[in-house]
Amino acid sequence: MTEQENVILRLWLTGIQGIGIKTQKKLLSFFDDASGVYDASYNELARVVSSEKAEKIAANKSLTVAEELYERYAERNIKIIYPGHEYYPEKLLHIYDYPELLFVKGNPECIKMAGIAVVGSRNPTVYGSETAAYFASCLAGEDICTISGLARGIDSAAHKGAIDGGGKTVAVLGCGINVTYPAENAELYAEIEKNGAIVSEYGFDVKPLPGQFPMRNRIISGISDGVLVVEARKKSGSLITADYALEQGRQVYALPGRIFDLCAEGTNNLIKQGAMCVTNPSDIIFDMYGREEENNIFENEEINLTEEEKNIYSHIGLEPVFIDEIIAKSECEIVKTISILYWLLDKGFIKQPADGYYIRKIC
Amino acid sequence: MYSCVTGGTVTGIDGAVVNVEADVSDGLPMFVMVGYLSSSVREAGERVRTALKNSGYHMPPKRVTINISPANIRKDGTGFDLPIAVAILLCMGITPHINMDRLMIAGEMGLDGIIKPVPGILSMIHGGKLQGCDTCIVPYENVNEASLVKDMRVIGVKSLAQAVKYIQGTENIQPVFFDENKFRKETVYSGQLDFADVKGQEVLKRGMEIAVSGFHNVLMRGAAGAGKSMIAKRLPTIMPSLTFGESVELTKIYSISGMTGDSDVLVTKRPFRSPHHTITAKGLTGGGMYPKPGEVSLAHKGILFLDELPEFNKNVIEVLRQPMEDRRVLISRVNAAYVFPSDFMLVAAMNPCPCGFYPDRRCTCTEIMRKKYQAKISGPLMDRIDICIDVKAVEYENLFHDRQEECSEKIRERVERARAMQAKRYEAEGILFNSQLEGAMVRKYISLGEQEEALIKKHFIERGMSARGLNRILKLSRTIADSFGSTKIKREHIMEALFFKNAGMQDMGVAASD
Repeated sequence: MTEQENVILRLWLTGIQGIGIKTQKKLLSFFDDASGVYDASYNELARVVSSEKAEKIAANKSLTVAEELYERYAERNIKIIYPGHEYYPEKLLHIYDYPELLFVKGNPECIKMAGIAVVGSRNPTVYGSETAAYFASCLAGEDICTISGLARGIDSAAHKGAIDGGGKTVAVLGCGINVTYPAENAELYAEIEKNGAIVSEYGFDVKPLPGQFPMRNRIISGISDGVLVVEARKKSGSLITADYALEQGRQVYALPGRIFDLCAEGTNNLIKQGAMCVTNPSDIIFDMYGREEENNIFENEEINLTEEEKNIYSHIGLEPVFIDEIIAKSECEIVKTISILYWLLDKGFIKQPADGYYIRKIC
Repeated sequence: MYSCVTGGTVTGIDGAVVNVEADVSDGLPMFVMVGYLSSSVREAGERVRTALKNSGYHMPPKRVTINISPANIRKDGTGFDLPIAVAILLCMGITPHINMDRLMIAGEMGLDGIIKPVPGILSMIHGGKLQGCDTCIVPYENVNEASLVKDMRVIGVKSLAQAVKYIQGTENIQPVFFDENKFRKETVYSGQLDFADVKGQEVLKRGMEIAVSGFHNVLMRGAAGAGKSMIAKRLPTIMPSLTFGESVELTKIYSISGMTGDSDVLVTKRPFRSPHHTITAKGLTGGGMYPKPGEVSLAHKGILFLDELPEFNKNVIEVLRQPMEDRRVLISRVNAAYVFPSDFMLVAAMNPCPCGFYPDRRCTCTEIMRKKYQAKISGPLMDRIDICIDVKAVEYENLFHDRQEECSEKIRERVERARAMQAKRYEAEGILFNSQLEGAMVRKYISLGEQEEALIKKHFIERGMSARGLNRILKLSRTIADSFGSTKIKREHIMEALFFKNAGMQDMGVAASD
């Protein structure tokens, strides 16, 4: 059976109403592969599944719809992989209810790479986003792929960080492969396609329904070697990913936060429960890949600053600060402050999370 | 018998001279008025007849015809009562036929013959002056306003009888002449408001100073209670006082709208107009069957403050574009086109997002909500806004510190200096401000050094700026240099311009400040 036939038959099987992933798994393991299911008679099918389902499968032997679908996916450069396919990652097979079909856009080889999932809150602090981006870019420097869910907040920051660091990144969607959700990430979606891959177990036009997101989390942890939770509240969706990771035997890493910080409650709890406390990207790289990496996160960049610049820079921390406060504290003239801030921005010492607000750049 | 007197009407903000002709002849007793009249003018007939009777003049049972010419101008307003009455009396031979060519008459009458003030008197008398009139009879209450016209003998009358006596020469009324000193002493802005009232907000104050210096339109973006309205209200205090010419032009507008004060007729304060966001397009630009000035004209030479800009109806904001570009409003009607000046500085304020907290963590808006909210203001309007300032509410300790804030007068001095530099530079172009530079003028008047050119070029390439955006930065840099009294644009001036540039919020997630 060629790859094309296999894919078409699997699309056919998925397309039959009332046949869920569990039934598919049963059928595929019993009949060895999709062609076995297709060729099976009603009586044979009824031995594995309920008579109702067997009837449906037996009555639906037309492949035209599946063939058309196959053409459409091919036209849009969407690859379809399944267990046993050359791009289907080995590690994903080891998880419970691994997907029988995965739609992939971009470079499918990235899915098989060494990869760490970076996940966290959809409403993070600037510190959280910056840190996620920093970790992702450090991982990128070690040829480690960053895997995340293309959600708002930490997920987006992690994807961006990996791309900016010149590395690969994989986004696992909870909606159809061609659906950009949230819509504001359209640009990022295109960037990821160029610098990695977009993966989904849902085909064309599947809407982002709430129930699908916890399910996609099992794929995020499933295709990664370990999961880093950057920032999570007490009841965060990223904790679901961490749970899956534990179930699947993946290492869980968590960034510590201040104890009164609501955004760090989830991660601190993870650490209490035994997740590895990470304070430096090299911690992960060493723990997972055994590579020792010198990485000083307290690099002193102030060396080349003049007195005036130092003065301004010293009033900018990891929490966003408004320009009026910088002027008031530094007692520097407005026009001078603005030109120094411009210079610091230009040289990459600071960043502007929103107009008028400044923070220190981590990396 | 035929007679003719000169009256006036207003089109747009300009006065037009009209001839009020009367003819009293034998025939069936009738009172006919012709000459493209609005209904308020048509009603003058009844008022005049009764007022004549009640003033002691007997109207013979004859055919009275009134024609107001030229017939192609639509006549509106109540200022025709008195000229019609005088014209009829002339016909009846009650007043002698003196030379009425250079006498202009305007006024509304009650049924008892008492003369009441009319709106737009300044425009009418000004129009009369241009047509060669040298004397005018106006309602007593309008004398002050009418005397703003130079070289005009202004006769204030209280009743029809008094007016008739004046024309007969039996009562001498002292004419009032233009006297600049009478008005001049009030032209300095003196108000309760002062920039020193605003605590902290250094960047906002600085941005406003630049805006006022170069007459740049401003958008303030910040949470509720950050002081956006407070500073906007104080903007007139840092603007130079109105020149006499500007005052007269403004007085015309306010007079037509019936908004002049009773005691001080001349508008001496820079206008600050703050229409509510439920305003209609016509309310903003002016309009109506007989067009009246809208808020943009009432804000002429001053500030038009639009608080909660995204809450305004989209169509309403869009109509602002043309008045902002042309600095005047053109309203076309079947019979005429009306022009109202609208050289205002737009100061707009908006929340950063629907809930008003962005970039604070309390903000519950999604990025899409925020973008939708900001997209309510169209690109073409944003293109006309040079300065965009983000405002953050002042911290408690800064609110009650006792550091002396700079007062309006000091800021105004700098503004005046910057404006003087611009006025001198653009003498030949007929414009006053950097913000008014257009097209080729930008490159003609704004030159950069090598370093400055490199800075702009770098920014242009890296940030994907548009050509229009580049021009805005150049104009703004010029104003900033002017505000420092510098003839050369330095790098820090450009940096400041880039800081105050009108950019969309950056999409870097939500900033934290719990």
